[in-house]
Amino acid sequence: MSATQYIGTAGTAAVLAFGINLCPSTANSFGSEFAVRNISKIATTLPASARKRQAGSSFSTHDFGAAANDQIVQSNVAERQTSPVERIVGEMRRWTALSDDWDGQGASAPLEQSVKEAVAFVRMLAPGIPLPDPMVHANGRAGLFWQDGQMYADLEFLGDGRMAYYIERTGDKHKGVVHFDLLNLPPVFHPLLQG
Amino acid sequence: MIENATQSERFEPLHDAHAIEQVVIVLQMAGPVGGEVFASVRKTSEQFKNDLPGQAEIQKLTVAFGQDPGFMGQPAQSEVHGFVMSRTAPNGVVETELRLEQSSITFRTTVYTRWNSVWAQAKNYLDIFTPLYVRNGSVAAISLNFVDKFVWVGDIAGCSPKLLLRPASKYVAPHVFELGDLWHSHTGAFLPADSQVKRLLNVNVDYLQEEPIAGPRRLIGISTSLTDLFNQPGYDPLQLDPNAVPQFLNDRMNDLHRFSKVAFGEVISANMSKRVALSIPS
Repeated sequence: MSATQYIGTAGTAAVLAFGINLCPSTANSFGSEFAVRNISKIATTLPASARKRQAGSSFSTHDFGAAANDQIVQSNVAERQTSPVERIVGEMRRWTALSDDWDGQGASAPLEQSVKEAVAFVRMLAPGIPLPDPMVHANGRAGLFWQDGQMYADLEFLGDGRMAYYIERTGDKHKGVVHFDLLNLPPVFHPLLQG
Repeated sequence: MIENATQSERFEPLHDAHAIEQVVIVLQMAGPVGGEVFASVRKTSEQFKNDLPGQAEIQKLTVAFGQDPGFMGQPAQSEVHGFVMSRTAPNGVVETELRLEQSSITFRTTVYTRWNSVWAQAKNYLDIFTPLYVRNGSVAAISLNFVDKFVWVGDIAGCSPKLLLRPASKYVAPHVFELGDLWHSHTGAFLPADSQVKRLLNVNVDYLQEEPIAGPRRLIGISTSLTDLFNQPGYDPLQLDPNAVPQFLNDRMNDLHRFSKVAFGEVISANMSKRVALSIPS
């Protein structure tokens, strides 16, 4: 199965169709590279053979290997840029590789559940508001903080479904502990972090 | 301090938080729906023009050749096969794509956040379009495909797939670990699912050298593809009521997602599973 084509035979004719084949009666469906090759079909990063064959220059009725080889070196690959939120989440997830005393001063290893809560929180922030910097506390809890001319905010995820916060904004100070279910931004943050 | 605690040479997930380059969901019908039905599909698609402003026709090219005089001299035939709607980023990368063809619906996105969000987006389209197809034919297969990429950070001379892949993974051909050059490993098998479903698992692993605009890089690409085939010999038939489509799709895709995570977790190392927060369902 090539990267983009299903080739079947009908009598003395061969039919070349740029499409997927999931027909259950087709023997080739077993072991074919159906999925990734279908992806290639619609991807912006077509493998070399696919581009060539789309141009109609050549094809083979059995080119598993060719399709594989085409994937080995790909040129001019265009791909989506990693988003700022993904960068923050990535940094926090890297912490999970740290063990106790990661700072040389007796810090606890990052708490997996706390990191998970912080990740969930970052993902909920509305587009357009400044993103926080992530931090890990010596007690192993994950945190987020903002500091600019308008606001200082410091969140600590307790790892038990709660989070502690301290926010200074326009001269007012807010602090407390709220429940965080990983699915909904606690209401207290709506005016503070979404405005 | 934190940076120093990590290995300086290592594989990193493509998008830092995760390695998913793209997700593709395919619903394949047993045969093409008629022109009238497809006209209603096209009409229905207009409600998604704001979501997916790009639109292009899909041409099907048929080339006939052989000894039969009836085929001789026939030109290649091209016909409209379907259409694709898409949303494209300013840099030209297709972020989300919906392909509506006469015998299939394909959703693809390169913007992966979390499964619940991605599936909700796909479901929004599938719940609308699938009943139109199901009223006029039977579902042949549903497929969920993930492509993950892990990029090597460091000197290529020190790059070793052993640093990413799970030792003795049943989905990776063992001899590739002894190779010094690039390689491809593919496995496919039918696995038991339930009385109606014949499930095909494909795992493709590529040890690649890519040359994106940012410069050459070494990486490992892993494609995990699951296809649930219906109405197969020896299996109970599937007769899908159009009204039951949303629940059917939801149950089926969530099951495929759970299974896909298990399979993927058996390809990458335990450390990397932790790194990308791959939670294996119990």
